[in-house]
Amino acid sequence: MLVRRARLKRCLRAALDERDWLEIDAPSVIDSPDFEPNIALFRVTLPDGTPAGSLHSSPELAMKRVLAAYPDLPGIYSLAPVFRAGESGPRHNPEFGMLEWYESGADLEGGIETSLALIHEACRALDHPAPRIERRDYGALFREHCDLDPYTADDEALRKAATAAGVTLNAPDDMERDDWLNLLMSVVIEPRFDRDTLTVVTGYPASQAAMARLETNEFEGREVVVANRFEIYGGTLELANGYHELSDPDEQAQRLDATADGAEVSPSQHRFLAALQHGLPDCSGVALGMDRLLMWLTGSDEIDQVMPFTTSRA
Amino acid sequence: MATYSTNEFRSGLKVMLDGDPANIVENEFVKPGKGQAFNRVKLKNLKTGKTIERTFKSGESIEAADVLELEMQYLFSDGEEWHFMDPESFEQVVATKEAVGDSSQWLKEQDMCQIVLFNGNPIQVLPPNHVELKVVETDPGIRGDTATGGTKPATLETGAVVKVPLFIEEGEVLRCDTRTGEYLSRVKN
Repeated sequence: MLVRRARLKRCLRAALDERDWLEIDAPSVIDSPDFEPNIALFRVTLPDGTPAGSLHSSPELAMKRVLAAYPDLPGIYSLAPVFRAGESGPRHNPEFGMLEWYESGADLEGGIETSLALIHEACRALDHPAPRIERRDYGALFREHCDLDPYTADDEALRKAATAAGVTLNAPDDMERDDWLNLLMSVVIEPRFDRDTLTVVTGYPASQAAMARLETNEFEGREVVVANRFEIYGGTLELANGYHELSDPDEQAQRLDATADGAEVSPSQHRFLAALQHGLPDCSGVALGMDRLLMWLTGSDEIDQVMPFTTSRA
Repeated sequence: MATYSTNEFRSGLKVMLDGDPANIVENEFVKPGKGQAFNRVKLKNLKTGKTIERTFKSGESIEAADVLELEMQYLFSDGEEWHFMDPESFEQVVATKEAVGDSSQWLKEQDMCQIVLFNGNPIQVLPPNHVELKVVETDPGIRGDTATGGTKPATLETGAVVKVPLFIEEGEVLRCDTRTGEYLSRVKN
């Protein structure tokens, strides 16, 4: 497994270096939470107890600042560990390897194409047969497996779909609409994806856009506003998440306010917003979980089969 | 009141669920990269033995159950109540028919049992994994017929009925596994 792990990283770096992309070292210790309300960060303190920031959960802000400063770069990437507190389970480890890249001039389809090309390279490097690829629409998946329209269904309909699937919430009243959608996606829809297929899902609701642009999509004969976002699943495993990146600084500042929950904008967030103000080139951004990819390529059911040192045995 | 947060969940943890004590059997962490994290948990209701599935938003807390597991000696029963004693403190507890359940057919006086106490009252009684019990009733043995592998029912002194080889006779002491209800061997006198 150590050999396959090393071979996978080498092949991904080689494929990106061949495109003349630059590997970027993003800072691991940052001064603030980022834009993700559902990700908990490890806090860093000095020996005397003074808070010194957090371990980053993604290199995103730093990388976008690089791209804003050097818009002529064709692409940049980071292949490094990221940290998410409390995420432990068969498919999660609090520290994991992330390949994250930003590709100048690419839109959502460009991001999908690059992702699939890289996964193909990885398949070749690890003697894995070329996978079947399936494109699925988020709305159509919910219609097929939960018999509902995820863009309009109310909480009650979502709760009923969960109950029908044998999922009972301990505190159903604490569930937000996107919580229900995420739960149904995780426990009802994803487990039905074919093990040997790469499933590309698009059409995520606008409420799950985070840093993605919005676009209009057709669903069941009408127009819905969706996020310019995709996810790639290897079998039932979530491997990669990508956006056609939002570059409008005002829109970004608004979304930051909405997720900040009253917290002040931190210095590094200010620098990030200033970079957007300066101008982020049109780009797609993708984050691909290295350990998940290795799990899928080696047919491993648990993340500790592919990581030499999970947090619990570090 | 003690509580457990989802990040403390592990199998074996005793918690209160819907007013009853329950044992966590399985705990699975589920989280989409960008979404809310959940713990999908399988629990066993310690009163009814039923398995329950429940999903928690990660970070939720749940009340701890005041559950104690003790090794106690079985004393006697009047058919309605079963009496047990802690051999160290000599403290006695009384278990109802409901708490003893199917275990009653294996309980022999003096044997050490696993008792689950909830708020001080027994809610579950587990006999020892292996017990040695006398056969009180079975069809006559057929000498020499040990090769065919045939079996017959035998009633034991505590009431349990187990399948035994044809050569077993009344009055013999047998070693049995209470978890599977199976005969293991004869005990030599």
